[in-house]
Amino acid sequence: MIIKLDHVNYIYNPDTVEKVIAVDDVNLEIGGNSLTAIIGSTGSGKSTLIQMLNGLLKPTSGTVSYDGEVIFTEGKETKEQKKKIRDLRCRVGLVFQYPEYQLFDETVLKDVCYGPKNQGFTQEEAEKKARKALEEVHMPEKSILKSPFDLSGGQKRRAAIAGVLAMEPEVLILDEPTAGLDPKGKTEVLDLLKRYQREKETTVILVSHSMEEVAQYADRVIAMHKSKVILDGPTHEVFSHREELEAIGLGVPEVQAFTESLGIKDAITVQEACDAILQRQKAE
Amino acid sequence: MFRDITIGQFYPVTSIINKLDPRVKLCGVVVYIAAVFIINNIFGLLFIIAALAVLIYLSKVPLKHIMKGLRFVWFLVIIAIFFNLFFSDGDIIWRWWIFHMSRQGILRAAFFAVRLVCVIVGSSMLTYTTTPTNLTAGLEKVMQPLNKIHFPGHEIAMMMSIALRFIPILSEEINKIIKAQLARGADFDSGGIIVKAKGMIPIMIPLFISAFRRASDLATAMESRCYSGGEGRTKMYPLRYHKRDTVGYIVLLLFLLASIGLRILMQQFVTIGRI
Amino acid sequence: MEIIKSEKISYSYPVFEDPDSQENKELLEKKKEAAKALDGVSLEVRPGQFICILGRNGSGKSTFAKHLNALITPTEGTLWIDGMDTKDEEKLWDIRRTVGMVFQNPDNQIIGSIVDEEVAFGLENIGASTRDIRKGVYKALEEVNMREYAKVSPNKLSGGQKQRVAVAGVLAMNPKCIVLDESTAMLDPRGRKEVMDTVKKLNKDDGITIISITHYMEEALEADYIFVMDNGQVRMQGTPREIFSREEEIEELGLKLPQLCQLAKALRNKGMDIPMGITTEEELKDAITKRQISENDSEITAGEK
Repeated sequence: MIIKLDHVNYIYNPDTVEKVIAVDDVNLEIGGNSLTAIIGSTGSGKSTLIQMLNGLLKPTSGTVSYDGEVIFTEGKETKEQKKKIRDLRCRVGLVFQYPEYQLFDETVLKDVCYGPKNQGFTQEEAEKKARKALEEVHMPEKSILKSPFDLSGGQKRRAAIAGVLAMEPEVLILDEPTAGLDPKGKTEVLDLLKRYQREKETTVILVSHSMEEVAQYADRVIAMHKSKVILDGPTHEVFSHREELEAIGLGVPEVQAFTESLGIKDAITVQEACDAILQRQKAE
Repeated sequence: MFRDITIGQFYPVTSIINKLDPRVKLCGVVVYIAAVFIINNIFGLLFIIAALAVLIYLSKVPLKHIMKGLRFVWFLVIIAIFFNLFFSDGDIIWRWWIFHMSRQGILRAAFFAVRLVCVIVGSSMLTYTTTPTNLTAGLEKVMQPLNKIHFPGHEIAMMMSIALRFIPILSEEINKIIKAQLARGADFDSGGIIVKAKGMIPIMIPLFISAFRRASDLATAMESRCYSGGEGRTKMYPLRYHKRDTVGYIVLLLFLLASIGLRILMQQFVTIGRI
Repeated sequence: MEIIKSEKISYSYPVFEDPDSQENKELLEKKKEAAKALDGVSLEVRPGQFICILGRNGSGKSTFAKHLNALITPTEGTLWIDGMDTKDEEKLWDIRRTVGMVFQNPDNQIIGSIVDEEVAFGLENIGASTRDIRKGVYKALEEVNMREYAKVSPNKLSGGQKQRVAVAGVLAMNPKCIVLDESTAMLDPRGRKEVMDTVKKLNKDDGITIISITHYMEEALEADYIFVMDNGQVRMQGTPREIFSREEEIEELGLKLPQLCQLAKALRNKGMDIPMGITTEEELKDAITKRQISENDSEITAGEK
């Protein structure tokens, strides 16, 4: 699925003194076989943007189209449109920040079934999808029938992600999926997202504050600042704009800053830095 | 949800009303409500409205802001008018099915509506002109004498101020949980009442858990900062009366006397416009 | 004298025991074992140090932090804070004034609805005079660079600003030690930097001991001393250089090396001569270029010959 944003704006409390422009004239095309990272400091409009991508928020102006189809139109939605919007939310899965705070059911399995059941699948089908999703996030078999509140922090997070994966979305969006996890938990979540994206050849979009994570996992980076998209392109290209990224409080991966001081460009991960240094040594 | 509620939100301007001691204002609300019910004729009503107008003028809160706050109580006013208008006995001037309108009914409806609006606007002036912290400090002080009978004045005031601080945070939280479940295909619109009530579970459980977690975090944070109840606590801004507060109390007293006076005197001289 | 001295402290969270239930003594034992959050922790911290405590989720870091200002007391062993035993209830308020805590979620630790009142909360609790409160509050706000926000509602601040207000609230009590319990975990890079710069300044200029519990390995590189916890025990301790030399162990304990150390390790694995325990960019740069220089030198000398 290709999501296309055309001159999209979003304004909170329009026509009042507390008017806030959260997204300002954004044009984007996201889709295909890629893992895209959205970066930007708090309040730059990332959260609003991703909520528009899956139809939770309706743009104040501009259009969002899905494979060419525009779902939101001017004025009030008809019943048919409402149904379409609901379907859309299932096609474009959105995992919120700290998703484990939305767990509610008695067992992990039941909780993960919530999505597929809302889509109208029978109990049996929903359970099948849930089990598959839980397998994808490496949930140990013995934890599936536990209460979600008895899981460890990292497991809770993965269970919550499974809750969205079970709906088999065509596009998966995650808002800071690694926030608050320990280093190992972070790596586990990112590895499974990368593998999921590669296997399904689908679109995964993630919001992240860690440039190191972004450099290592993303194919494409979209940087937002003050409600606008200021950089958009392949990961290496975006990180070559070091000054701009530092000016908006983000910066570049630590290893990149280091290799640049050695005069090596374009090495944004540890592996790349290592190779580049060795290569230079050889050349000399 | 909660974000739309304008009643009772502090309006940040500096005015003489704003600067008054919260105790004066608390007392003012009581006096004002008493006065609204003491008066019983059109002159009294005009007097009350005039007083309210002066208060609003002095407070520098824009009328538009006050009217916005009234949005949520209009239907209450309309119901009150409806019953007074169509079900009052007296000189009947119009009748249809079970409805009848009388001259006294019309007057009573109008009077009642104006009274109600006056009470609501008047008491919301307290919260428009007083910060939550000041308000709770005032309440705590007013309730202090009750400490002798082990009435937990400080605790109630502390609870109120914490509640006020957490309302926007929790409303944000509700919003977020609703969105998160919507993103999982939840449908809160269709279905009968039971289906709808059941549909609330995925919102209520996370909300309760989150509220408990926040409460426990907050309790830990308070304890770590040496909180141990109201005993021995001091204040950075203790309430202290100024000259303007004395003036405030005198104005309130005069206002109350005038309302009583209007009721008694007008009863003797005026028969028109009495209700 | 050490500001913190812990001697074999253990702590178990209370387990609900049903006295009537005969069944499953084994399960109960298991539960009790699982509830054991600290298991014989002994460590010492000298005044003025900047300490980092690392460890995976559930390793006991936060439980240990809560001991430091007597929010909980050890079930076994003794913990002294500036010479005071945390079990001594008479010293409770002194201990809490000596060690201040800043927690993870900025929204869940702010009580006041105006910034200056929030900072005043602690001083109000200990019954300071109005004059002292005002002086303390404004001095603390100045130190965290939040003076201009004194009259703002905390709800209007960014995450980093809220945490700085929380630091000011602790600072107003004139503590000797500040404990940061994952205080930067919920912040963006800029907010994190704001908070870390603030506490670093307090450590350097005012000599306040800082104990930072964190998942950010890069923060740990700049600490004076590091403790790594796992399973309720201190598994490693030392200077950043000592800790990050033990690369394998770090990874076994569920942690990750800082990127700089990862690069050093990768280069070493490829046969380059990089010493263990690199902690700064300069060191790594020297290690890489020194080799180049020595090679260049040998080339030059070879050429001359």
